[in-house]
Amino acid sequence: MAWVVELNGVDPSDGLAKTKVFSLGAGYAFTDSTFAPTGLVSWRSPSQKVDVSKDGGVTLTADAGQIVISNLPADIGSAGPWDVLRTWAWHGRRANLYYTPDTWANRTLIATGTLQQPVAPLNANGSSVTSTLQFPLRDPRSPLSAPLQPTKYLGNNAAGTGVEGDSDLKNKPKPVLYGVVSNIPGVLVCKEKNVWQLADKSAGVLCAREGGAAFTAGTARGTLASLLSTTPTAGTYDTYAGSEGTFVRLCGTPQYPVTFDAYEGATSADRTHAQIWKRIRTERCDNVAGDITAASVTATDALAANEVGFWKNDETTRLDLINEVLTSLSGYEVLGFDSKWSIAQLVAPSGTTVLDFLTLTPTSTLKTKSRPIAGLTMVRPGFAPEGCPPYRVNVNWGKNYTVMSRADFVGGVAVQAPRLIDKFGLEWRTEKADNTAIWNPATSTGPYPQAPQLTVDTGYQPGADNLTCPHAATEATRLIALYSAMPGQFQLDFIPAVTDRILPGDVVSVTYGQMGLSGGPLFRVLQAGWVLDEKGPQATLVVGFQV
Amino acid sequence: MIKSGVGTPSYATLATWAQVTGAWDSDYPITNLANLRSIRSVAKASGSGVRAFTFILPAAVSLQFLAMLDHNGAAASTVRYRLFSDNNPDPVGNAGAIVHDSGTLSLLPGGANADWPQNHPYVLSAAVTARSCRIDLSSHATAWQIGAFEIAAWWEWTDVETPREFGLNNNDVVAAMPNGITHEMSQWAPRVIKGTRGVVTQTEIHTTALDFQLATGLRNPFVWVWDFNDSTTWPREVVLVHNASLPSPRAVEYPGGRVAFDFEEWLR
Repeated sequence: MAWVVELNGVDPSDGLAKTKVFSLGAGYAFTDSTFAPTGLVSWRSPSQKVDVSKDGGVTLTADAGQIVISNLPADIGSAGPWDVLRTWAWHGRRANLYYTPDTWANRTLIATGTLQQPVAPLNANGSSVTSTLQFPLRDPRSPLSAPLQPTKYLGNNAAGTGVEGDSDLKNKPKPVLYGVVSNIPGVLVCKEKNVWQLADKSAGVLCAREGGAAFTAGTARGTLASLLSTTPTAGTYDTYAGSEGTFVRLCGTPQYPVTFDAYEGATSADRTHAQIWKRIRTERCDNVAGDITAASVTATDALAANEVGFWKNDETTRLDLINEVLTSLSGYEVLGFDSKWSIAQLVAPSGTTVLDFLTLTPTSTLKTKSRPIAGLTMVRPGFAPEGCPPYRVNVNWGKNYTVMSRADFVGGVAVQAPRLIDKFGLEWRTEKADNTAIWNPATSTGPYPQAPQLTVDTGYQPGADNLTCPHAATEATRLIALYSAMPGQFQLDFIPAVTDRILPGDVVSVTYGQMGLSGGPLFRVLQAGWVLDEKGPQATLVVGFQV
Repeated sequence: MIKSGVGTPSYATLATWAQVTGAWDSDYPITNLANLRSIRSVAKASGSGVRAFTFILPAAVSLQFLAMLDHNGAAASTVRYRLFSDNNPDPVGNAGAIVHDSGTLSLLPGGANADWPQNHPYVLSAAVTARSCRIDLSSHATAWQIGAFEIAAWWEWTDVETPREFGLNNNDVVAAMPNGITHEMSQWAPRVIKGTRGVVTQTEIHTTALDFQLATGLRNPFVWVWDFNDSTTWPREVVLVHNASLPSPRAVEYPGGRVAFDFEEWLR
């Protein structure tokens, strides 16, 4: 048996992608002829962390990880055996830690991370030699820091031809649309012909407005050329949706702000958080359908089945958009040990535990999934940094992408419905839920007069009446119940077995004599840190949302 | 004359366990018997009644010592060990391969003592070459529970000095509280055993004693038996232990020497 790290890089000598393997302790020749030389000193996983910020949104961060490889030269002044690895290209590639019981083919993936180029602390004082290569590890979400939209406008329109915009649009990203959105400004890509682009892919147009007044839908053109060559009938707008993107042409030059309602996704069932997350992952983040755990999408759809929408027309990253979707869901994503991404909503723990933690005594009986607690610390959750529970959760919904002043409405305020003025005058509409046992703002009573309120920005759209959002209200009620109960949160240390591959989102139980843990309450794993060194594997969990 | 010694070398972790009669709780599978290091990972039967089960080793080895550790047998409980030379521990269809039959043995011949983990040692009169074993347990009123099972050769100790240290490593935590009050929390209290074998041949020092220290080190548990011939000593003085330290054997004057031992009970 052996612990083996596998580093994926590119050898500059021939430009080929290759792997290097190193084992902990003595070099290990597997019975299927794969040899892993000695060299692995330690592995610290870049553990992903699910938390709730003090403002109210679910956050996904990660502690930095590191791989240390021994690079001890034969004597002072000699080259290290692995000096050559400093010249390899590692950045952004995967490193995997395996446990191998016998053959390489039977290895088990224990942990993974994204490599950076190594650093090498050298003790060059001439009297002693210590030399290691240290590879900083980032979590698997780090590639999401790439730009969301690599396709930019050329800015080369001339005399009303084309949809690449004038020079003012040059190198600006084309708009990205997921789900259903309201009052987006679009991007004016052809001023001469009053053509706006709403998305860089085929989408539907629900409405076009000028100064809050809706145009009548005109003709859906079959080609972009047809849209550009034909002026819409007065008072209408024409559309084109195809591989070039989604475009709207107005009948004339507007005097007031132009805005649109649009949707992406064939049906409302395609416009849920999970479905949108899946499409962003597969269309924008270099993933394919096989990289997604379908069951997680189904399970999340069952919890959050309502339509949402997101629109981006500025320079941003994949991470920003994914995080916006996950924050809206109050959810998170994790990369499983099967190298597939899963999505989940943050809910109170329930169901079957993956591990049960307990105090080891001379009379304990350990089940197959029982693990003795090596250390336990009660900590405060992120949403209550001072330990004070929130009394209110605000759920923002129905995002208005173009906030309009009264002067922006065509014909002045008098001819517009007050509802529209209110709706388009604010960025968000809000549903709130209170726990008056924490603090009652109406009566100014309660044990926590300084209790904070949390706010979650969501992509939720109005409900069936097109005016209110009952599911945002439901979400506010759910979240205040989840947070204001101040569920216990603990940091827990234990010695993992090889089979203990825990991820954020897993459910565990903790049984301990103190702090209300004697009954073995359930916890949601929020962070799973993992270290391997000469002492063997050690794990540290952050568990929360005790029930 | 006392029969004192330790089970070594151990083959427990190499054994493959299987149930023959009666099922085992899936949370406490019978495979847990192979793990002496985690004695608290017990094997537990799924219900009351008799149980029969087997182990098979990868190859035949010289065996002389078996021990059922931390079992919950009752005063009337019995066990029977049948060792086979091959990997087919079938006493009916493969009776010819039986190399040792213990007959029916009382699990608690010296009486039950609930203060200590119940360990049942079995030292064969002579080593046999065996690869598999069938174990038959009598009916249990509730459910059989066994912490681990040692399968080993036997290093018999002669000339163990009777004046030895034997007691508890009392790890009680005492915290000083305000106003001079002390607060005690009961913690683990493993048994500690220290002593010396007075007349040991240097050949034994150079071979078995050294091999034993190499194999067990400080972190590998094994079974120490003070006197197999006196079952009244079993409750207190048949203990799963580890080396608390590794005192160097002393070859004082050819051909004799002294071997000290320093054990602490393994409770994990």
